[in-house]
Amino acid sequence: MQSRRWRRLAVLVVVAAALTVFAKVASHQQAVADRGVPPALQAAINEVLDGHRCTTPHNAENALRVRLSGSDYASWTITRRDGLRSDGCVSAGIDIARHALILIPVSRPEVREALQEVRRDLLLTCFQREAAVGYVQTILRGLGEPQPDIRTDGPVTVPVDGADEANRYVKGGCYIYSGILWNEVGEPVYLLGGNSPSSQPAHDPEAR
Amino acid sequence: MIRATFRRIAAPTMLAFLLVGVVAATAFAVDASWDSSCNSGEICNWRNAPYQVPLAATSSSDSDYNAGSDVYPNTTDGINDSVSSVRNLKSTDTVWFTTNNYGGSGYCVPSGFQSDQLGGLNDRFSSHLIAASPAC
Repeated sequence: MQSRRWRRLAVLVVVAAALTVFAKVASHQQAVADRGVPPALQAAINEVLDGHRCTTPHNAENALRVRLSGSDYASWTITRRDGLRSDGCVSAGIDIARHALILIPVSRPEVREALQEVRRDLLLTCFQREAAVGYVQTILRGLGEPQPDIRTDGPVTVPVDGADEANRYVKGGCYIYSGILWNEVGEPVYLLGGNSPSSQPAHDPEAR
Repeated sequence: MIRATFRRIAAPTMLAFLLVGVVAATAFAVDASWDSSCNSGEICNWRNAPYQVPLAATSSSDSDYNAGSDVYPNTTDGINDSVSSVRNLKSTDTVWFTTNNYGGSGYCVPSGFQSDQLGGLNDRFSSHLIAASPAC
């Protein structure tokens, strides 16, 4: 009878110890995630994906595997988001808790830089809907995107610093560049945000 | 005799290992931890617009807002398909996705930007991914 009690106690002790260990593991894992990207891993990513050149999914995956092999991150997985075009450019997202790098689509560097300027321009100079669409269309066509999908029914996304001013600007009828939505098949949709009564896709006879 | 020994020793031990396995699986599937204030270094999701509580903020990626722990802190409200305002206070770009596992459509929000008018993306986000290289 007494030995049964001892066995039960032993099982309870084992379970309690296991719970404590795994709680600590989970807590440590979360703490690591909360600290951000480990510098060595970030350095490897920076080498491969510096934002100044277009890296295709295949090249990014291979180069990252080479950089990570032999490091503390050799066991990390590298996966591709659905819809990545084989000749498109990629960036990488990081899921520290799952030890995973996820390749995601990104515009060509020259397009990305131009759109950053567009974002600034449209916050400085008021363009109404049609003018804003025309402006973005011209920029993108000049960069070799003949039929950009530009929409004006997307989010209104503004800088955190100066948000009130930006929102007043938008309420006044100005359109701003709200960024890119990558759709399910990996195509970019360029989003302009504004408060025009029309919430339809931009008027563009050539737009898809 | 063998059967009795099994019942007395092996069965409780197996039960213990089973419990340990379940706990271990839970521990290693740890997802983003959410807090209820939007601080530097975090991305923030509000259930309501404009930036109205409940609020869930985290510093890490989350592949599935539908996981058990993904509720707005101090509430029982699930985050999945409920977000109406977002803010990116990370130093890097962040992409919000309309399905779990970083699938569906992905909307890229640069560092230092926010939105309380998500248009067609309102109440549609199911995961987000912190970029480690320029993405927007």
